[in-house]
Amino acid sequence: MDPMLTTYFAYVILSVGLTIWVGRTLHKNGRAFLVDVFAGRGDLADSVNHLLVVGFYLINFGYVSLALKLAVPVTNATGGVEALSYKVGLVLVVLGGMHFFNLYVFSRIRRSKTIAEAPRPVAPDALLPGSGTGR
Amino acid sequence: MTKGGEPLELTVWFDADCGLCRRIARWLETQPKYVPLYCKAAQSAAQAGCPLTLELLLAKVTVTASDGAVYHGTNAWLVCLWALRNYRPWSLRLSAAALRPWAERLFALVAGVAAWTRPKAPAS
Repeated sequence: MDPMLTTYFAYVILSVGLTIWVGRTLHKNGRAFLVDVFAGRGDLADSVNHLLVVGFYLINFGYVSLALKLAVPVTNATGGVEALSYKVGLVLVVLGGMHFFNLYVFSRIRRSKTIAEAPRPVAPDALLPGSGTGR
Repeated sequence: MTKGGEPLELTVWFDADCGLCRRIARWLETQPKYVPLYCKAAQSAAQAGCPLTLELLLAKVTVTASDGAVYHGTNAWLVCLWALRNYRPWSLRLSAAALRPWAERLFALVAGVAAWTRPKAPAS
Protein backbone atom coordinates (compact mmCIF):
# COMPACT_ATOMS: atom_id res chain seq x y z
CA MET A 1 0.00 0.00 0.00
CA ASP A 2 1.04 3.60 -0.58
CA PRO A 3 3.11 4.66 2.53
CA MET A 4 1.23 7.96 2.67
CA LEU A 5 -2.12 6.21 2.85
CA THR A 6 -0.78 3.84 5.52
CA THR A 7 0.34 6.85 7.59
CA TYR A 8 -3.11 8.41 7.26
CA PHE A 9 -4.82 5.21 8.39
CA ALA A 10 -2.49 4.81 11.35
CA TYR A 11 -3.04 8.47 12.28
CA VAL A 12 -6.82 8.22 12.19
CA ILE A 13 -6.90 4.98 14.21
CA LEU A 14 -4.48 6.30 16.85
CA SER A 15 -6.11 9.74 17.18
CA VAL A 16 -9.65 8.42 17.37
CA GLY A 17 -8.58 5.80 19.92
CA LEU A 18 -6.84 8.40 22.09
CA THR A 19 -9.78 10.81 21.88
CA ILE A 20 -12.26 8.12 22.91
CA TRP A 21 -10.01 7.06 25.78
CA VAL A 22 -9.70 10.62 27.14
CA GLY A 23 -13.42 11.26 26.59
CA ARG A 24 -14.39 8.15 28.53
CA THR A 25 -11.99 9.03 31.35
CA LEU A 26 -13.57 12.47 31.62
CA HIS A 27 -17.06 11.03 31.50
CA LYS A 28 -16.35 8.45 34.21
CA ASN A 29 -14.43 10.67 36.63
CA GLY A 30 -16.24 13.95 36.05
CA ARG A 31 -19.53 12.59 37.32
CA ALA A 32 -18.62 12.73 41.03
CA PHE A 33 -17.77 16.45 40.68
CA LEU A 34 -21.03 17.25 38.92
CA VAL A 35 -23.20 15.28 41.36
CA ASP A 36 -21.68 17.39 44.15
CA VAL A 37 -22.25 20.63 42.23
CA PHE A 38 -25.88 19.79 41.46
CA ALA A 39 -26.62 18.96 45.10
CA GLY A 40 -26.88 15.20 44.64
CA ARG A 41 -29.18 15.42 41.61
CA GLY A 42 -27.77 12.52 39.60
CA ASP A 43 -30.05 13.00 36.59
CA LEU A 44 -28.96 16.61 36.08
CA ALA A 45 -25.29 15.70 36.62
CA ASP A 46 -25.52 12.89 34.05
CA SER A 47 -27.13 15.19 31.54
CA VAL A 48 -24.50 17.94 31.91
CA ASN A 49 -21.74 15.32 31.89
CA HIS A 50 -23.04 13.88 28.64
CA LEU A 51 -23.33 17.30 27.00
CA LEU A 52 -19.76 18.18 28.03
CA VAL A 53 -18.42 14.94 26.57
CA VAL A 54 -20.29 15.48 23.30
CA GLY A 55 -18.67 18.93 22.98
CA PHE A 56 -15.30 17.42 23.80
CA TYR A 57 -15.66 14.76 21.07
CA LEU A 58 -16.83 17.30 18.50
CA ILE A 59 -13.86 19.60 19.08
CA ASN A 60 -11.32 16.79 19.09
CA PHE A 61 -12.62 14.87 16.11
CA GLY A 62 -12.89 18.18 14.28
CA TYR A 63 -9.26 18.92 15.04
CA VAL A 64 -8.12 15.41 14.07
CA SER A 65 -9.96 15.71 10.79
CA LEU A 66 -8.62 19.20 10.01
CA ALA A 67 -5.03 18.22 10.84
CA LEU A 68 -5.03 15.07 8.71
CA LYS A 69 -3.31 16.36 5.58
CA LEU A 70 0.46 15.85 5.48
CA ALA A 71 2.40 18.81 4.09
CA VAL A 72 5.42 16.74 2.94
CA PRO A 73 4.86 13.60 0.83
CA VAL A 74 5.82 10.35 2.59
CA THR A 75 7.91 8.00 0.47
CA ASN A 76 9.23 5.38 2.89
CA ALA A 77 8.53 3.82 6.31
CA THR A 78 10.88 6.14 8.23
CA GLY A 79 9.22 9.21 6.81
CA GLY A 80 5.84 7.72 7.69
CA VAL A 81 6.79 7.14 11.33
CA GLU A 82 8.15 10.70 11.61
CA ALA A 83 5.05 12.25 10.10
CA LEU A 84 2.84 10.05 12.25
CA SER A 85 4.62 10.91 15.50
CA TYR A 86 4.39 14.63 14.71
CA LYS A 87 0.67 14.48 13.94
CA VAL A 88 -0.19 12.27 16.91
CA GLY A 89 1.94 14.49 19.15
CA LEU A 90 -0.16 17.49 18.10
CA VAL A 91 -3.36 15.57 18.82
CA LEU A 92 -2.04 14.62 22.27
CA VAL A 93 -1.17 18.23 23.10
CA VAL A 94 -4.63 19.39 21.99
CA LEU A 95 -6.24 16.62 24.03
CA GLY A 96 -4.16 17.63 27.06
CA GLY A 97 -5.21 21.24 26.66
CA MET A 98 -8.87 20.26 26.36
CA HIS A 99 -8.55 18.00 29.38
CA PHE A 100 -7.17 20.75 31.60
CA PHE A 101 -9.78 23.16 30.28
CA ASN A 102 -12.46 20.67 31.29
CA LEU A 103 -10.94 20.34 34.76
CA TYR A 104 -10.91 24.12 35.04
CA VAL A 105 -14.59 24.29 34.08
CA PHE A 106 -15.48 21.63 36.65
CA SER A 107 -13.55 23.33 39.45
CA ARG A 108 -14.99 26.69 38.44
CA ILE A 109 -18.57 25.37 38.67
CA ARG A 110 -17.80 23.76 42.00
CA ARG A 111 -16.16 26.90 43.41
CA SER A 112 -19.08 29.12 42.47
CA LYS A 113 -21.34 26.75 44.39
CA THR A 114 -19.20 26.77 47.55
CA ILE A 115 -19.09 30.58 47.41
CA ALA A 116 -22.86 30.83 47.08
CA GLU A 117 -23.20 28.75 50.24
CA ALA A 118 -20.50 30.47 52.27
CA PRO A 119 -21.66 31.70 55.70
CA ARG A 120 -21.09 35.28 56.81
CA PRO A 121 -17.34 35.87 56.99
CA VAL A 122 -17.31 37.80 60.27
CA ALA A 123 -18.84 37.32 63.71
CA PRO A 124 -21.39 39.91 64.86
CA ASP A 125 -20.11 42.78 67.03
CA ALA A 126 -23.33 42.79 69.06
CA LEU A 127 -26.85 41.41 69.12
CA LEU A 128 -30.03 43.45 69.03
CA PRO A 129 -31.98 43.27 72.32
CA GLY A 130 -35.08 41.74 70.74
CA SER A 131 -33.61 39.50 68.04
CA GLY A 132 -35.38 39.65 64.71
CA THR A 133 -36.10 43.39 64.68
CA GLY A 134 -33.42 44.38 62.17
CA ARG A 135 -35.71 44.75 59.19
CA MET B 1 -26.96 30.62 59.04
CA THR B 2 -30.70 30.99 59.30
CA LYS B 3 -31.53 27.49 60.39
CA GLY B 4 -35.05 26.73 59.24
CA GLY B 5 -36.13 30.24 60.27
CA GLU B 6 -37.14 33.11 58.01
CA PRO B 7 -34.59 34.00 55.29
CA LEU B 8 -31.84 36.39 56.29
CA GLU B 9 -32.13 40.08 55.44
CA LEU B 10 -29.61 42.83 56.02
CA THR B 11 -30.16 46.52 56.68
CA VAL B 12 -27.44 49.12 56.17
CA TRP B 13 -27.85 52.28 58.24
CA PHE B 14 -26.20 55.12 56.35
CA ASP B 15 -25.84 58.78 57.21
CA ALA B 16 -28.29 60.63 54.98
CA ASP B 17 -26.30 63.89 55.48
CA CYS B 18 -23.19 62.40 53.87
CA GLY B 19 -22.96 62.52 50.08
CA LEU B 20 -20.54 59.64 49.72
CA CYS B 21 -22.66 57.48 52.06
CA ARG B 22 -25.78 58.16 49.97
CA ARG B 23 -23.87 57.33 46.82
CA ILE B 24 -22.57 54.05 48.27
CA ALA B 25 -26.09 53.18 49.47
CA ARG B 26 -27.47 53.76 45.98
CA TRP B 27 -24.71 51.63 44.49
CA LEU B 28 -25.41 48.83 46.99
CA GLU B 29 -29.07 48.81 45.98
CA THR B 30 -28.26 48.35 42.29
CA GLN B 31 -25.94 45.38 42.80
CA PRO B 32 -27.13 41.77 42.31
CA LYS B 33 -27.37 40.06 45.69
CA TYR B 34 -27.34 36.69 47.39
CA VAL B 35 -29.17 38.10 50.41
CA PRO B 36 -31.71 40.97 50.43
CA LEU B 37 -30.00 44.13 51.59
CA TYR B 38 -31.86 47.35 52.39
CA CYS B 39 -30.26 50.75 52.81
CA LYS B 40 -31.98 53.06 55.28
CA ALA B 41 -31.09 56.50 56.56
CA ALA B 42 -29.71 56.31 60.08
CA GLN B 43 -31.83 59.37 60.87
CA SER B 44 -34.95 57.22 60.31
CA ALA B 45 -33.76 54.35 62.51
CA ALA B 46 -36.02 55.21 65.44
CA GLN B 47 -39.16 55.25 63.26
CA ALA B 48 -38.04 52.02 61.55
CA GLY B 49 -37.95 50.33 64.96
CA CYS B 50 -34.18 49.99 65.24
CA PRO B 51 -33.18 50.04 68.93
CA LEU B 52 -29.69 51.42 68.24
CA THR B 53 -29.12 55.10 69.03
CA LEU B 54 -28.51 57.67 66.30
CA GLU B 55 -25.14 58.62 67.89
CA LEU B 56 -23.94 55.03 67.52
CA LEU B 57 -25.22 54.71 63.94
CA LEU B 58 -23.55 57.97 62.91
CA ALA B 59 -20.29 57.11 64.67
CA LYS B 60 -19.77 53.82 62.83
CA VAL B 61 -21.14 52.26 59.69
CA THR B 62 -23.66 49.73 60.99
CA VAL B 63 -25.39 46.75 59.45
CA THR B 64 -28.16 44.89 61.25
CA ALA B 65 -29.32 41.43 60.23
CA SER B 66 -32.84 40.04 60.57
CA ASP B 67 -31.49 37.42 63.00
CA GLY B 68 -30.42 40.18 65.41
CA ALA B 69 -26.71 40.35 64.55
CA VAL B 70 -25.16 43.84 64.54
CA TYR B 71 -21.99 44.63 62.60
CA HIS B 72 -19.91 47.80 62.91
CA GLY B 73 -17.11 49.32 60.86
CA THR B 74 -15.01 46.89 58.86
CA ASN B 75 -17.26 43.97 59.78
CA ALA B 76 -20.24 45.91 58.40
CA TRP B 77 -18.40 46.51 55.12
CA LEU B 78 -17.44 42.86 54.86
CA VAL B 79 -21.01 41.70 55.49
CA CYS B 80 -22.24 44.09 52.78
CA LEU B 81 -19.73 42.68 50.30
CA TRP B 82 -20.73 39.16 51.35
CA ALA B 83 -24.34 39.91 50.41
CA LEU B 84 -23.35 40.95 46.85
CA ARG B 85 -23.02 38.33 44.15
CA ASN B 86 -20.08 40.00 42.44
CA TYR B 87 -18.11 40.71 45.61
CA ARG B 88 -18.63 37.71 47.91
CA PRO B 89 -15.27 36.18 46.88
CA TRP B 90 -13.63 39.46 47.94
CA SER B 91 -15.43 39.50 51.29
CA LEU B 92 -14.11 36.00 51.99
CA ARG B 93 -10.58 36.99 50.94
CA LEU B 94 -10.53 40.27 52.84
CA SER B 95 -11.90 38.72 56.03
CA ALA B 96 -9.18 36.05 56.07
CA ALA B 97 -6.37 36.70 58.55
CA ALA B 98 -3.80 37.58 55.86
CA LEU B 99 -5.76 40.42 54.26
CA ARG B 100 -7.82 41.58 57.24
CA PRO B 101 -5.38 44.40 58.21
CA TRP B 102 -5.56 45.69 54.64
CA ALA B 103 -9.34 45.57 54.74
CA GLU B 104 -9.24 47.64 57.94
CA ARG B 105 -7.02 50.22 56.27
CA LEU B 106 -9.06 50.34 53.08
CA PHE B 107 -12.34 50.84 54.91
CA ALA B 108 -10.79 53.33 57.32
CA LEU B 109 -9.75 55.32 54.27
CA VAL B 110 -13.29 55.27 52.84
CA ALA B 111 -14.71 56.21 56.25
CA GLY B 112 -12.17 59.06 56.40
CA VAL B 113 -13.28 60.41 53.03
CA ALA B 114 -16.92 60.08 54.11
CA ALA B 115 -16.24 62.01 57.32
CA TRP B 116 -14.42 64.69 55.36
CA THR B 117 -17.29 65.21 52.88
CA ARG B 118 -19.90 65.31 55.64
CA PRO B 119 -21.04 68.73 56.85
CA LYS B 120 -19.97 69.57 60.41
CA ALA B 121 -22.33 67.99 62.92
CA PRO B 122 -23.96 70.52 65.28
CA ALA B 123 -23.24 68.42 68.38
CA SER B 124 -20.22 66.23 69.22
